[in-house]
Amino acid sequence: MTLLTTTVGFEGRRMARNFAPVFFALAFPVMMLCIFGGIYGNKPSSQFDGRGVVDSSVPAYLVLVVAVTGLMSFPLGLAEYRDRGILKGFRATPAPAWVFLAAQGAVNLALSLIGALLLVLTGGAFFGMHAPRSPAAAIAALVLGTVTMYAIGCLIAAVAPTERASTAVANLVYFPMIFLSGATIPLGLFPPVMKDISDALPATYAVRLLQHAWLGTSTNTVLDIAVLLAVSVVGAGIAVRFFRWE
Amino acid sequence: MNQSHDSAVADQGQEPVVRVERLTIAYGARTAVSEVSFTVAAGQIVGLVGPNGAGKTSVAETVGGIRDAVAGGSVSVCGLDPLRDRAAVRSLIGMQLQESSFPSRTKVGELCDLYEAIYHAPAAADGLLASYGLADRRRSFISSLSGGMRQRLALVLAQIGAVRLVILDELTTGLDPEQRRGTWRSVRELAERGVAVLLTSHYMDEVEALCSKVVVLREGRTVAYDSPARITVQHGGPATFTVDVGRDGAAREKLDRLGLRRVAAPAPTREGTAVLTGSFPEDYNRIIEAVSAVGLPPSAVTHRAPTFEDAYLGLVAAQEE
Repeated sequence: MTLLTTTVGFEGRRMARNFAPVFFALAFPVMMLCIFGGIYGNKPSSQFDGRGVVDSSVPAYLVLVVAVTGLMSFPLGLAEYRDRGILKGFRATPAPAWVFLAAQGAVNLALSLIGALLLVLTGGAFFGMHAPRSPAAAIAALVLGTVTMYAIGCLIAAVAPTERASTAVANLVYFPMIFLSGATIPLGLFPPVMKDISDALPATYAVRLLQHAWLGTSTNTVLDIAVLLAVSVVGAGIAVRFFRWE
Repeated sequence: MNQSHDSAVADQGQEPVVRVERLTIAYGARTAVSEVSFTVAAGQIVGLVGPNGAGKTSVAETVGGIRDAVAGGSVSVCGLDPLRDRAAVRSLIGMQLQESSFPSRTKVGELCDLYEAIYHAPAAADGLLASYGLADRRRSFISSLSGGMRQRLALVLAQIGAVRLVILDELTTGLDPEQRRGTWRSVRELAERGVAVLLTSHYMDEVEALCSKVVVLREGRTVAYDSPARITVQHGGPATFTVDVGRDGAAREKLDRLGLRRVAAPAPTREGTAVLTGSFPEDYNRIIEAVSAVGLPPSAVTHRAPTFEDAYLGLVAAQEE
């Protein structure tokens, strides 16, 4: 136990010094919320199905917050450890190697959790955001969305041959995923072609499910859950199959 | 420290820390290492040398228990099998891996704390950092350290805990000569404390300076296993003598009568020198006698003894044809 806590502390300090994930998980979503909340307020708007911009945005941005750690910093951290022989070096010690992977996962999850809390607190404190209709369902939807993003992240880390390739793939997956899934730009603004594209992105289903749990918007919850579960299982399965230590 | 030195003395004559017997390593159908045998006693430094691809790292990592491709033979560390008794063996081994870097955005002290937690050795790093001149670097980012400091940090980390064996895979590659000498001192101190050291290197002066025994590998096979001095004598070839005879025909004649092999003078050597090969000191003394007889001073004769590197190059090349 002490080893795990020491390792989590070790990874935590490294994470605190990693500008990109800290900015994109903690500051960027809150910044977006402040900008759009500041411009539009939270008054019901026809463009958002009769909901306020802040009420619609917060659940969407929550997906953004878990996507940045799940799709970017988690796989890139793993790829760095593997490619630079660091995992191999740790494997030569008496510590079980999974500890280092678990610590990285825990630190990334913690970063997203802090980002999510900041976002919800900002919405509630400054923009009159309404609480989720069903907090339990909202949490469950966020957890499922998180699992899906991390499964895709594991897949990227496992199949990308090098650290550079991981970075390239993570960027190629991450940016379309956040811009075309409704996580940053509301899907209501999308023309039909773009909507079709967004249907192909797993994050879209996480955004829909979370907005449904939060706001009561209509969606096919069975489809959403099925897609997220399927992507998680397939992603994690392939990742486990192709994972390598060096 | 005294205590561990005493125990090193007590260990002498006992079972070696590392015993490798007829080790064969194969990756699929390709045999990388064949029937390699050697031992490393407590306090002893043993070197693994050979061209790239000769199997040095394969052997080192197999002994360290992080490479499992043993196709035959046995490896034991403190009487345990590093692959089967992983958990028990790993706390006895410290390793510095080739081409392994440190985690990014990490400070020296943080990595030391982590290794102390891994090896259940609280505060073990303090003394080590001090003896390696890194005590004031605890709060420095590892990325800000010089290459020599980083290698010394790798040495510190490899020693945290009650390790009996330290494996160093090309520890000094990329260091400048001064840093290499500093690192050698550290490795010697490590052995003086009774730790068995297995190292790989491409620098024969380093191996000669540090190792009491060397395994010379060529394409996975042992071509020599002895002390650097004995390998030099057996495989280093003859010494080379350069005699400054000038235009002295009598001196040349006298030298020719010694029956030593004449070799062509190397290009930059000016005219008027004779280059001979033979044994040192026997043939050397005969040459001195001969030149003295014709009135040349002994300083007209210079000799170059074969080095361990000559022996190594001979061993590695001998079988290439």
